[in-house]
Amino acid sequence: MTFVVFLSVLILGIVLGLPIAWALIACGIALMMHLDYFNAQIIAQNMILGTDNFILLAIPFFILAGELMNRGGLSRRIIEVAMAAFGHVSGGLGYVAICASLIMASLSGSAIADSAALAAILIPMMKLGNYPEGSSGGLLAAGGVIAPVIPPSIALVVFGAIANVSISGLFMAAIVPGTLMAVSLIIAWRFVSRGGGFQTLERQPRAEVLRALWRALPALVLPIVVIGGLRVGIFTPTEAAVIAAVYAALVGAFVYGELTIKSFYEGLVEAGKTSAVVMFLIGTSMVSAWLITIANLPTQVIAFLQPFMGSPQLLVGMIVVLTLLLGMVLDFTPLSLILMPIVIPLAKAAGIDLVYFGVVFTIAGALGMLTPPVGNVLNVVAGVGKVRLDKIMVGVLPFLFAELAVLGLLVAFPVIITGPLDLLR
Amino acid sequence: ARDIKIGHFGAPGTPFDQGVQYFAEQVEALSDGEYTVTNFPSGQLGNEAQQIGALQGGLQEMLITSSTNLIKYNELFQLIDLPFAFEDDAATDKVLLGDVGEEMLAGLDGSGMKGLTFIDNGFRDLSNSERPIESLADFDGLSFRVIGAPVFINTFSALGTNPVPMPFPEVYTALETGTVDGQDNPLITVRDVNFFEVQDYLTTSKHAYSALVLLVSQPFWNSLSDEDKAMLQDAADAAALENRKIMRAAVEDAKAFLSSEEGGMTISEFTPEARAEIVEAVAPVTEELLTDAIRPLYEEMQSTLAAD
Amino acid sequence: MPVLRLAEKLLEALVAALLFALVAMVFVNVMLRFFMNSGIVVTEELSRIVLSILILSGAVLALIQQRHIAMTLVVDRLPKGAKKAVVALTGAIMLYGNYLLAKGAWMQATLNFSSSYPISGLPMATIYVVATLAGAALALVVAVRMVLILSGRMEPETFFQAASADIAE
Ligand code: NA
Ligand code: NA
Repeated sequence: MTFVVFLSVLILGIVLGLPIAWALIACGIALMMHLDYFNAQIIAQNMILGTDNFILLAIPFFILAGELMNRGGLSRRIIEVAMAAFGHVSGGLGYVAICASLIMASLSGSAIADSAALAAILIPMMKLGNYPEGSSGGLLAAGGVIAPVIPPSIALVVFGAIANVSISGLFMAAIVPGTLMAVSLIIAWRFVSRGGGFQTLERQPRAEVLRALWRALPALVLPIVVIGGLRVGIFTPTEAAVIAAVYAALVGAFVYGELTIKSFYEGLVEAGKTSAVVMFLIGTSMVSAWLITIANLPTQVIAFLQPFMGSPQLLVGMIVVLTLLLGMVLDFTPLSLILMPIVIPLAKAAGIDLVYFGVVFTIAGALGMLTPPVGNVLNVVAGVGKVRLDKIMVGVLPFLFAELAVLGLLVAFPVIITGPLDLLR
Repeated sequence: ARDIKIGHFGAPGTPFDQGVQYFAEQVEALSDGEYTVTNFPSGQLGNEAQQIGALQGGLQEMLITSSTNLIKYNELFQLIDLPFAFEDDAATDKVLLGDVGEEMLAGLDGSGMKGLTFIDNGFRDLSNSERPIESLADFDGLSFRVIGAPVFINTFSALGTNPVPMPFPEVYTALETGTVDGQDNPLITVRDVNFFEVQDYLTTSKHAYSALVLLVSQPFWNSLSDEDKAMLQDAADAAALENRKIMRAAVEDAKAFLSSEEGGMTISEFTPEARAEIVEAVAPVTEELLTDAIRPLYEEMQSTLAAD
Repeated sequence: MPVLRLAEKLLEALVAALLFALVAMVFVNVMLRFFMNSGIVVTEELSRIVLSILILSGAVLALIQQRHIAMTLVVDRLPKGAKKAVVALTGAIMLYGNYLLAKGAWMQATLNFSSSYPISGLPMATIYVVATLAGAALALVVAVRMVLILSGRMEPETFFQAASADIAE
C-alpha cells in the first residue's frame, strides 16, 4: 500500500506539470500522512543532509569541466577530430559518445557525474549535426550508467563492504559485463542510426585528420591527465573532477585563447545552477526513500522472495526483476541501501557466488537510473543537455533494451562473469 | 506494541549487528512484548548527521554512533579519543562502564539526545603500504587518511605524517592507488572492507579507542514512563556486555585472518621503549586539547585507570 | 521588476562565487598534498557546507529562471481555463512543500544553534538557517507567479518549469 501511495502521487504530480523535485516532495507529504507520521523535519532533514556528502562534489565539478570545455573550445576541437575521422560514417558521433562513455566510466564511479559531463560536451555537438535530441540524450544516458559498473565503482565498494566479499574481485568481475554494455549500445546505435537523417560529411584526407588531431591535442590530453593521475594516486575520483575543470580552464584560456573572464563567469553560473537543479532533486528523492525504509518495505520483500530459494538462478532472476521494478521509482543510492542488506543474505543462503551476484545486482540497480518516472540520469541529461525529458524517455528505450538484454544474458549464463574471473584468479 | 527504530552503521550479520539484535531481543523480552525494535543496519536511515538530526527531532528513536561524532554536542567525549588514552580492553571498560562513563553520558544533556551506554568497536590500529611501523621514525613522511576531527589530525601531525581527512567510501581506492599510504581503523574493519587487499603492513598500535554511544531520542525518552525508562536502560546494559563479548572474540578472529596467508599482512607491535617514545611525541596533543571544562574529568579518568 | 532582476543577478554572483570557492579549495588541497605533502584539513568539512549552500541558492535561482526539470507534455495541451486551475493546484502543492521545508529546517536550526562543526567552528545551524531562507524564497517566487497568473496579468504557461531547449537557450 505504501508503495501504491508513493507511485500514484508521483505519477499524478509529474503529469500535472509539477517539477519532479516538488512531485517527490508531494510523495513525501503523502507518505507521511499515509504512515500517520507527519513531521516537517522529515522533509527538511533528508533533503538537506541527503546531499551533504563530499563524494557528491564530483557532480558540480564535472558539470563545470563540461561547461569550460565547451566555452574554452576544447569540446569543439575533440569533436572536430571525431568528425574528421568518423564524420562520413552515418551516426559517427554516436560511436564517439559510446567510446567517451567507456573512457569516463573508467574515470569515475558516478553515473550522474559521467552523464552530466558527456551531455554537457556532446549534446550541443550532436544538435549541430542534426542528431535527433531524444536518441542523442538517450544514448548518453545509457552510456552514463556504465560508470558504476566499470571500476572504479562506489556501488561495488559498498556491495563488497556489506556482503563481505573481495572488492578487487568485484572490480575484476565487472570489467567484461561493463564492456558488454558498451558493445550492446554500439549494436543498438547501429539500428537507431540506420534511418540516417544525420549530417554526414565527405571523407576527409588523412592530412586533414592529422591536422585536426594536432589542434585537439591539448584537449585530448585531458583524459590522460585524469586517468593517469587517478591510476598513480595523485588524486581521488572526486578530486579528479576538479583537476579536469582546472585543466579545461587553463587550456581554454591560455592555449586556445577562447575562454574570457566573462565566459568563465558565465560557465560558473551555468554549472552552479545546473548542479543545484540536479542535486536538489537527489535531495528530494531522499525524503521518500527514508519514509519507504521506515515503512519496512524490506520485510515484505523477503516474504515475497522466500518461495524462490530453491533455485539459485530463478532467485537471481526474481531479484533482478524486483530491483528493476523498484528502480523505476527509487534511485541507485537509496535502492542499494534498502535492498542490499535484504538480498545479500538471501543470495548467500541460496549458495549464489556473491561476486557474480554483486555485479548483476549493480547493473540492475544502475539501469533503474534510466527508467521513468524517477530516473536521475535521464533527468541529468535533460537538465544538462537542455533536451526535453519526454523526448529522452522515448529516445532511451532502444538502448535500455540493449542493456537489459545484456543483463538477461548474465542471468541466463553466469559463466560470462565467472569464466573470465576463474582465469584471472 | 510501540516500535523503536534503531539505526547503526554495521553491516547485517556482522558481530556488531549481532550485538544490536541482542539488544532488540532484550527489549522485547523485558517489556513482555510491549515494545518492538526494528533494526536498520548499514546506515539505511541515512548518514550520521541525518540520523543525529532525526533523533533530536524525535523522528527516530535510537541510534548507535561513534563518540567522535558527538564531541560537538558534548566536549567530554573528547577524552575517549585522546591518543593512547587506554592500554587494553579492561581499561576501557573500567572507565566507560563506570562512574567516568556515566559523567560523560550526562554531558549530552540538552543536546536532544540521551546516552544509555557505551558500545565497543575495538581499538584503532594502523595499516600502510610502505613499511612496517615499529618506531616513531617509521612514521616520517607517510600520509595517512584520518577522520576529520582535530584530535586525529593533530595526533597524526605530531607523529610526523601528513594527515588527509577523507570520507570513508573513498578510502579503499585512495589506498589502492596510493593517494594516501595508510589509514587507521579497528582490525575488524580492515578485514571486512578488504583494506588488507591494498595494504601490506599492520601495526597493532592501539593508538586510539573507538567507542560508540547507544543513544535515545530525547523527545522519545521524555514520553516514556519511569518503568519503561528503567527497562530500556537494563536492556542497554545487558547489550553492552554481550556486545563486548562478541566484539572481542571477533577482533581475535580478524587478527588471525589478517596474518594468515589469505590476509597476507605483516603484523608488527611496538616494543615498550618504542611505545614510550611515541606516546611522548603525541603528549602535546593531549595537553592542547585538555580545556578547563574537561580537565577535571580527565584527572578522574587517570585516577580510575591507576586504581586496581 | 527591477528588484527581482537585482535579486537574480545577486544570486548568480553568489552561485558563481560558491562554485569557484569549492574548486579553489579542493584544487589547492591536491596541489599542497602533491608538492608539499601537506594539506588544508578544513577542506573536507567546509566544502560540504559550501555545497549545501550552493544547492539551496542555486535551486532558488533555477526556480526564478524556470530551469527545474518538469514534464509539461500534458499541461501544454490543456485549454487556458484548465491550465489556470492546474496552476492553482500545483502552485498550492509547491507552496505547501516549500513551507514544510522552511518550517522543518527552522526546527532543526533551533536544535543546533549551540553546537558547531568540529574543524571550522561554524555553527551547525548554518545550513538549516540557509535552508529556511531558501524555503521562504522558493515560496515567494511561487506565490508571486501565482498571483500574477491568477489575476490575469501573466500567461498560465509561464508557470511551468521545463528544461527544454527553447527556454534554456
Ligand atoms: Na566507473
Ligand atoms: Na528509475
